[in-house]
Amino acid sequence: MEKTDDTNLKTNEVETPKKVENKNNGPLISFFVFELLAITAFTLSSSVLLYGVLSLLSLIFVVFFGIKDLKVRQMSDFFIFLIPITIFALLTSISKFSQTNVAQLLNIFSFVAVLAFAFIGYFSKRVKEFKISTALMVIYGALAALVFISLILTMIHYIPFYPFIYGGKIFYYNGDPYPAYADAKMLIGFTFGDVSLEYFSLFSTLLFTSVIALRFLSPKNNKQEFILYSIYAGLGFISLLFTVNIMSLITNLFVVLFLLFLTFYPKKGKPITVLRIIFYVLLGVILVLFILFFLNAQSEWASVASLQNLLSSNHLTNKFFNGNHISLAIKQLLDGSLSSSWFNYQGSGYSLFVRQMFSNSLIFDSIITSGLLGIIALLTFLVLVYISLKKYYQTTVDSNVAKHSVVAFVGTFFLYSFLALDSSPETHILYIQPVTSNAMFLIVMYLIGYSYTNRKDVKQNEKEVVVHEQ
Amino acid sequence: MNNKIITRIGLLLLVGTLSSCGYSLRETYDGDAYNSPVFGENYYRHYDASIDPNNANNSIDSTREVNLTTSEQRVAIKYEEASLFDNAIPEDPNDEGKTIGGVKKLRYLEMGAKDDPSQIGTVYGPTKKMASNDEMFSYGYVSKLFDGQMFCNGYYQLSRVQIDEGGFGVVFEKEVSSQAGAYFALNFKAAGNYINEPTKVVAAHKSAIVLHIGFYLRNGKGFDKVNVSYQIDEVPTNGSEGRKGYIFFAFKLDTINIMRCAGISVSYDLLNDAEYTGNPEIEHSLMLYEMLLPKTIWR
Repeated sequence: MEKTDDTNLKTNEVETPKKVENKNNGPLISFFVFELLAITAFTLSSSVLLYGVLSLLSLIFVVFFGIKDLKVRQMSDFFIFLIPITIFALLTSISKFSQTNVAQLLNIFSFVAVLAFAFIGYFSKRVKEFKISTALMVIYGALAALVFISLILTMIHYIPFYPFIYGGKIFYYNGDPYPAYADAKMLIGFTFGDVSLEYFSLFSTLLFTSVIALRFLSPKNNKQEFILYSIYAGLGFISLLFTVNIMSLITNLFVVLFLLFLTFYPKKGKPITVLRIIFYVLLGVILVLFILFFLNAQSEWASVASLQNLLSSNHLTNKFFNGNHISLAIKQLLDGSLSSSWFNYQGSGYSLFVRQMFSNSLIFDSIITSGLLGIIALLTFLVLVYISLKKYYQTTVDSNVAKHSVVAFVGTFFLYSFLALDSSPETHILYIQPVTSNAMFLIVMYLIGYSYTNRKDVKQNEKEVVVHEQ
Repeated sequence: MNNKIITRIGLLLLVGTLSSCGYSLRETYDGDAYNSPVFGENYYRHYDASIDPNNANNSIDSTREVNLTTSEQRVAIKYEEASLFDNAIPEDPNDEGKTIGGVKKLRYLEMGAKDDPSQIGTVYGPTKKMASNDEMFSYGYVSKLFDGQMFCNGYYQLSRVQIDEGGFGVVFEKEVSSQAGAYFALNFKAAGNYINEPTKVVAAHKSAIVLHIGFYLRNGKGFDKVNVSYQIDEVPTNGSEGRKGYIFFAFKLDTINIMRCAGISVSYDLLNDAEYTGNPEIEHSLMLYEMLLPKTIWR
């Protein structure tokens, strides 16, 4: 945890009462955490087993060698905070629909990884030598390397702007037709693979969030950081530009809007107020849409027939609610899921066509993988994350660069997840990657753990601010 | 971090972008290419210009004819009339008709079964497919012939390459650099259609064809063509979709030199067909499913 102002990095050295004095192990612990973050952000084939084992070992290392006065009682709030995601991750990892590239039983490691990353985030904040700004630099650096290699590879196989130029065209690969506008090449572990453009764009989209940092870095005073963040953001932008993807554009529009608000409403409080209004408006729109999707999907409810007719009678609403891949998949999901009291998807199980069942929207796909209990847990967790992040944003003593990057990264991930999180990323290989085994989700869990702020933390942060100001 | 590093990274990105060759986009199609419900719209007649017999400026410098029907080179040919194609495929075409330890068997593959990792190493097609030989065989429409799927269950419009007598011909980036112990194999069947009466189904019968396999050997600037022909008198010909009537045709390449082969064509002559010959109302075609050149090395 840093006590810096973006224009005065020297204040990093101010000691905080909450930090644990550990002169011997602190740097080593920090190094291990950075390594874990780098490996994860570089994805390394999104190996569930690798993430699970590495994160668990790292957690043990951090707890035993990094935290001297571990008091479990003080962590009770954090434990409660993690209950919903624990339920969600457990249900997802044991789901018959979570057919990852490892044996079914090993999927439990994705559950382990989710919690381990959150705890590592929580604990690393309490290691004195640990700096979130360095961690972010590492995350973005590894992400940039991944995006750079994958972009070059994609451009060798395709051409810039190909999704736009080759709209509607198909090409053949191993005898099967694939849409030329929806595929990309990517570094997967130590091999190059074919992935969906939506999966590829997740990384570019998250990399582009680094543009927020530029708002708070001075090219003169923070030259090195400024250049690095410029490269990260530039690479993210070029990648997004060359591989045009509508969902990325929508997501990044919010990032740009966030940046514009921060720039044009720099006074404390105003951006929050404006963003809060936007947030609640969006939330209202999403709720209304969800209700409409829900009602529109019910094939056996005669009482909603008039609403369904109304939606299908207009060209635009018909296309939105019935006519495209996403809405069709959502419709199928909601209709098929509600026939069971447990809200579990009543599909035919894992099949060659399982890919078509997924809507590529985290919320709706969670119905398949974790049922009613899982989706309630996920939504509860998201509410808790929102509250925690809000407190963190308002009260943290971290630098502006750090706090805005953390918020942007987490927010962008979830926004993109609702729009286009591909559950079956590799186009020529059939397996289902649940969100819990997605490397970026683990990074997000780390940042959530790090940024976890409850009432006590708020008071502590306020004290630290006073000390700092004196 | 100094400006030099930034410049280098920028240049690298620029070079990468400029070197974009659109590998996956060299051959693109609109929607469902060759997957029309109209039989006559599914013929794959593509010839790369350099080996196109109808192109006066093609690069074929010479043609050598090899007639397997009259030569001593033995040919392995398996007919399959049953619904399941489960007979042994001879690894060595000289072992025509023999089951070799019950191991090297063709198994009936459902559509998409090639995606099932458990099948790898256990079936003939997926283990011998050209796509495993080199990545270049994975791209393009003819990748349907190199994907290891020997036949399928009724959805054959998704996996077949339908040709008329003129056939097709493609040139590859790489060429054969080793053919020790290699052989050529083709799995196909014949089908027919009434041109003006698409609902009328042609009765199952036999037809006689001369199959031509063209190998195009690089000779510097152009190609030397080796045209291998073989007459098959009883090709099962059906008028509807189904699993019946496959032919597995193979011959060894020990006496046929295909070193530096960088292109292949397949065509045929329809010799005799009780239903089709001389009748302009009906059309005859071959449905090609898989083409294999096991043990060849391409560089």
